[in-house]
Amino acid sequence: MSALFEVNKLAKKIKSQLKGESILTEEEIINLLTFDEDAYQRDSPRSVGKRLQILSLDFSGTKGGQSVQYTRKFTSGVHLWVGDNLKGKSSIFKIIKLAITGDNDLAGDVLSWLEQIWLEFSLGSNTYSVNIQIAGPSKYNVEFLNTDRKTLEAPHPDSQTNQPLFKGGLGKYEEFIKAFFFKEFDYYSMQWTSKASGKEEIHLRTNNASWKTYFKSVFLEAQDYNVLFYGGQAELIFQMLLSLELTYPINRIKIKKELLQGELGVAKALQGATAHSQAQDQQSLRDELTTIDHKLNQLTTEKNAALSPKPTNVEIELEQARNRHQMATERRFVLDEEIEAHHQSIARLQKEFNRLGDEISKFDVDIHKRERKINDLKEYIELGAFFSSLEVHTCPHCSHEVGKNKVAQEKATGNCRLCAHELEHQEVDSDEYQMHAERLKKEILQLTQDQYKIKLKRSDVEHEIKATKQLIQKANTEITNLAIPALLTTINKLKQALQQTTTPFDIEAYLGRVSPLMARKAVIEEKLKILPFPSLPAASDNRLEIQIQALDLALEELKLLRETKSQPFVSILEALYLKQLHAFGLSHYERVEIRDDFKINYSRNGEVCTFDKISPGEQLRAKLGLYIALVELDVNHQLGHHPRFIILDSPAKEEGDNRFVEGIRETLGYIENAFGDNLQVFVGTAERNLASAVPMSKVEERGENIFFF
Amino acid sequence: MGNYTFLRNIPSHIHLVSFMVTNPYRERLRILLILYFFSEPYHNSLQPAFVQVFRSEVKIQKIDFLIRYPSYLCYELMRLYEERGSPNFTDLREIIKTIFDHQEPQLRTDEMIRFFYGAYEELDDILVFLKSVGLVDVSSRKSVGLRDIQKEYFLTKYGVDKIEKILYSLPAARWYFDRCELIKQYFGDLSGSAFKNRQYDIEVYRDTPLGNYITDIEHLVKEKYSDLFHTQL
Repeated sequence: MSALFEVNKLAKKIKSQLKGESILTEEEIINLLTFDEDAYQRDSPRSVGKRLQILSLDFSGTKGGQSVQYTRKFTSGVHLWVGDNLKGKSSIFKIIKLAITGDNDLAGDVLSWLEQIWLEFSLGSNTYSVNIQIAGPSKYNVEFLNTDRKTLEAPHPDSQTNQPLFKGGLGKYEEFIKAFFFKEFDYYSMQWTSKASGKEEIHLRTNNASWKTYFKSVFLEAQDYNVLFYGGQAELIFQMLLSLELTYPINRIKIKKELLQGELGVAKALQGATAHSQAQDQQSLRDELTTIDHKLNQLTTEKNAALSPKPTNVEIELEQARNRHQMATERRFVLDEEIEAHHQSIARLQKEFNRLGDEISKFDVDIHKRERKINDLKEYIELGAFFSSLEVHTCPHCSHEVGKNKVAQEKATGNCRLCAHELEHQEVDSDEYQMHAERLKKEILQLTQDQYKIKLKRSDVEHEIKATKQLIQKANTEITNLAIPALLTTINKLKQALQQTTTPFDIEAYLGRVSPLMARKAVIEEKLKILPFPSLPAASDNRLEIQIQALDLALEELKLLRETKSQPFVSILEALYLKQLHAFGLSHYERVEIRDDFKINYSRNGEVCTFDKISPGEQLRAKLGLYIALVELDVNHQLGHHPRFIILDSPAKEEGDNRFVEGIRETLGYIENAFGDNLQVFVGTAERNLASAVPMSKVEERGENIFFF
Repeated sequence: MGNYTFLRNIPSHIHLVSFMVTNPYRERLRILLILYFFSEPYHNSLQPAFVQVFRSEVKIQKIDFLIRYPSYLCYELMRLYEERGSPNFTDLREIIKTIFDHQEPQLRTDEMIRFFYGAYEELDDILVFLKSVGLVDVSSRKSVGLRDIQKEYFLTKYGVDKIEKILYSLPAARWYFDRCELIKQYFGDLSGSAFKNRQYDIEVYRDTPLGNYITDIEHLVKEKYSDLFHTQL
């Protein structure tokens, strides 16, 4: 089906819906809907099969007389920079961004010493190098080469590979690199309209999304984690990443419609102005113009102040407070772990203490047994001798005295004087008893010595328990002294102060205030031009309105068609996204729905909400989930156009909640394990617990207060 | 010591290894000394050989119990202190500490069985022997229904001499002499019934099932000692 045919079909349908409004011919409608030759075949959700992977970064300069050199190589998967805030992590990412996009966000204090940047990256099977030499403010010399540095350093004399594909200044480089990546990822410029900024301009202007715009889906900064895609063109970026069929013509038709609406607005305003201009005094018009100019200047000043990168004192204080809070929280985490380890030690030692106590008791039992035996032996010998030496004088039965003859008979015969039975004499060798007692005493001595050793061991254990308890007490004291609640209070106060002094710049609101002022200004200026010529022909053509209506109908049709064609792909992405949310611990999310306006609805516990209504603790993971779903869409389904390279700057910036940090740590570990071969993620964080999310070879860490370069 | 010839007038199962199970010499000594220490002087021209008399079998059993259970003795001494202030605080602490320092609960406890009226030991064989060798004599007055209503235990002059001149010098008997003196010092004025009632106040004693050995109360003594003296035994 040729593009022309589709447009003809669409134009015919629109014509039929414009019944009674027959100003536009079918051919005029076709002209309205015609753009580039391949406009209606331009889009394909099929992946280009390439991903952007940074291979190495190298930069150097002279900072305060000292030479600075930073080098790091990278593989696929998740890489971490772990260090305190304001120690260079964001600067490293902005250097990468400068090399990859030509967009310079670096702070003045970094640019003051930075002299050279080398960045190697691969795209598919090709390797490229970017070299930026910085000779002074705004003096950038950029080379872009179709090879790696190793080959550059030892080039083949006949090779053409060390000839740069680009050589020039930063401005031109930005255009070059945009064209380069647009070609590689099959991007084009999605457009949007805005009021022109020129003083005399009353019409809308068209803006084009650049590589810098789409890079916002790569470089995710902390202040942007509360939106799914940063910037006013969020939905455009999302559409570009998906590249659903008919996206290009829908975008262009929308722009055309907005431009016509702008023209219509101006025409109507002029018509109104003409009707009233005769009744208005020139002076009052000039007064109103002055007031409008003053307001516009004020709005521009506010905008410039809000967008200024230079931090205020409150911001600096807040950053420092966050830093202190970060360090305190990390220290608290370490102390909590130490305390837990100490408690476990105490439990183990207590068990040992009790066991040794039981052993000591057993020794006591054995010792006492032998002591009793010795006692019994002694009593047996001594008391036995006493009682045995006593002669029976009286019959115990009848109480009569035993007669002398019976006594004599006993001595003579050896038979009992009472009952006449033969007496049994037991010889008792007291020496034998003595030896037995001595043997028992020796055993007691040995047992006592053995018991003493156990007592010494137990005493050591007791001492260790006491020392460990003291360590716990010391750790608890240190935790109290960290005063984390007080730090949080300070941060909250500073945040409130910051909000009062510097509110986040709302570009939509700005445009909403500026646009009517600009429109009114344009009207007044036109009035002032035409005065004193009161007579002007009234505009009567409603052609614009019909054209706008036709474009509206076209948009409606094309959006419906896009939705129908794209439903399978969108469903896949929705399913992948939901899966990722669950993998990131957000198991209470029941459904995600990508709307036709490319905003996303989230269903949780039967309630539906948009991204901005998700709690801050979940937003980052929800955002990461979408990006990872886009990566998986590419890897497993060959759909989508994300470069599969993401930079996360400070993903746990303020959250002192260990569960949140643990959630991020698990998320990064999951990404590394599940997708490490298919994407590259760079993470900069002050949260040291995240270091264990990935293998140590992928972590670059700096100690407290130490810069990365 | 030299060699001795013991007459086989002890049960046949007694021999060197197992004599600690029951030691008849020890039992004879205890009963003899109880009668010696806790009897009253006796003068009767019709019975010139008898010099001391003891009138209560129950009392013999209860005193024997206190000798055989050093822990119960300690407990009773502490109760006595709480009731009367005697022994005084210092003496009491010293007495109990000495008993425990010598580990008497572990070394000197000789368990008794609980019968209908409390701790009980069969005394007949012991008394028969003591009588046969002329150390004591026993008589009992019977009621019209031929029930023994009062037993009298007499110590002979011969018996007293043997105790004071020979037994007293035997090292093995020293502890028993000291113990009887201690009990006499603080409990000598109690009747057999009074002894019995005191012992029934102690739950472990009271709740011992009939026919079972009465268990020691070392742990109760330590608790009470700690409460009284704020230190551990």
